[in-house]
Amino acid sequence: MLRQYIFKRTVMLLPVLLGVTFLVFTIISLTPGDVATMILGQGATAESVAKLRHQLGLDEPLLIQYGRYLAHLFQGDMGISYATQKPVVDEIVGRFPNTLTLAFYSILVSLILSIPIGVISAVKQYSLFDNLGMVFALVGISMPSFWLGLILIILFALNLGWFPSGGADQWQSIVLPAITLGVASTASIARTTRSSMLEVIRQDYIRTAKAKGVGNLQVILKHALKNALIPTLTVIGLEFGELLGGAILTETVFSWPGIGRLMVESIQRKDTPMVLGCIIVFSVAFSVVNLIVDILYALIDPRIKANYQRKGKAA
Amino acid sequence: MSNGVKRKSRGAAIWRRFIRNKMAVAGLVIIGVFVGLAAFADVIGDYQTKAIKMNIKERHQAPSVKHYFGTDEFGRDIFIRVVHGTRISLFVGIISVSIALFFGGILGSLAGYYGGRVDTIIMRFLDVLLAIPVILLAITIVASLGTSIINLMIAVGVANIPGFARVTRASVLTVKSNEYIEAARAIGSPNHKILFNHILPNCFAPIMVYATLKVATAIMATAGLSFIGLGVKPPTPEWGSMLASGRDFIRDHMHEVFFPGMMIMLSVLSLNMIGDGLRDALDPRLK
Repeated sequence: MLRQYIFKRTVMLLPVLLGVTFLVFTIISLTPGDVATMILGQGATAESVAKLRHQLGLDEPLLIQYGRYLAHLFQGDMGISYATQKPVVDEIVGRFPNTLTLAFYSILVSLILSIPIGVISAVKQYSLFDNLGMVFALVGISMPSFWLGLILIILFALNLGWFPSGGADQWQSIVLPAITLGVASTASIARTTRSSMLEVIRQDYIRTAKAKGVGNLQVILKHALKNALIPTLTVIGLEFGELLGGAILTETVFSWPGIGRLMVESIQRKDTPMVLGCIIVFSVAFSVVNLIVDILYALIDPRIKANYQRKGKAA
Repeated sequence: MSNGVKRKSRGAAIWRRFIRNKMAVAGLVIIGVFVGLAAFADVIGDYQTKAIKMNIKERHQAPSVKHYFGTDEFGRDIFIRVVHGTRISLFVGIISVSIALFFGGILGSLAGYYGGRVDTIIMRFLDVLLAIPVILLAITIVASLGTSIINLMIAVGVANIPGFARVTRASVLTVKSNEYIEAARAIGSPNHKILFNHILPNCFAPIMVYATLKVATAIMATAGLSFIGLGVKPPTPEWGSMLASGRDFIRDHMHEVFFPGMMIMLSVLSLNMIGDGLRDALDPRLK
């Protein structure tokens, strides 16, 4: 049953991804200015511009251009970078692991902080810890990551010298970017955990467990947390997407060699194939993460699984 | 007549709940100060002579009585620049959210009200937009249209359309199932009248809360785009672009990044506090 669900969700992803590539391709193609003129420079003759336009396929209708791009994309070819004259795919494959590493450590940082904050805030509702925790969460959500990054650089790189201010040459390099990127998600995961925990601990089965004489800590960790984490999981998935977006800014602040920074640099260089490649990789990663979250959700929440099984039998 | 009285008392009840929330009131006060700064920016310091004109003799000065927030690399007063920046940020935030609210509202109400095939087509289209993170979509649009304040508002606005469409659709669906809608249909009210007179006014609350929170993220996105050089360009005193230029001097002149960032954070924070307060006041059950 579950295998069917996973298959169905994966198949549903394909038209969305097709739509995303088409939309992004169209928007990027609307860029004013002629690419051929830009590559050859202002002094180029009309003839050579026309020749290059033909070579690049720019003189054909948008739909044909898109079709060709898509056909190449399926073969793992995203074109040649205007700036470096090397395949876009090579550059992206080289940089993408760095972005994933950054996103992974950021989510790690935020999980380590947010779940305990959320749980304790809920269990000790309206206590000093709860109030401080929720103020921290509100400030964390409102903090622009690029500003927080700069402040952390001033404090921990320039003044204290504990961590490098940029690059990715040593293991310490990941610390400041991961914290910078992780703070906003820490805040929203903590808030969600708190509110779903509050809902769960008021339910009858928790009272029953307590009445049976199960220890307080065990009730919270074993009985309540497991159910309270279901909404949290959705938020983690959403946050991972936000992290990918946020990585664009954080990578710029810390000169982290991921595809976020690659994209910003490519936009400034007007390197269209590279920009297109980066956006598509970002969107695909975002969609795949959401798919994984949906599947995990079905695995964890027996109600969803049961619902699907009923439907499966009916069909 | 009786309808007017009822609405007034409900509004008063909401206001009472809102005003009891200390965080929400604090947010309202902060945003009030920001609106005041934006309104009186020219009185506080002239735009051309104080915020734009360079004064190389006074460059990189630390905060003092003469320059409350110090000066930047061109000797311009950072306090006066961030005050003028308030205008840009609030303006871009509100206009871009209005764009998103208008188009997202239309798409969402059509999808929610008519359902069926209309709903399917609109939602499949929005699924595609939702598959792209908001900031990435905004960057894509700006990268294509080119950098200017107007393009920035369009980009941030369009990137937020799917969110507004979703929220509007969800609340239209909720309101639509009420009995008085069925009654309106039974007495033969035309579709547009049901939608505009009976459904949408009752969707106002959740959409308003969402819009308040989205002005906050729009301000943040605007600053972020300017920070990476895709938004408002120098010498315009936009907070994000001020951060970007101050970044080169953080070693010795950290005030040049501290104050613009503080303004971004305070404006976003206050709008978030108001949004949370509104949500709790409009629907006490949610708290």
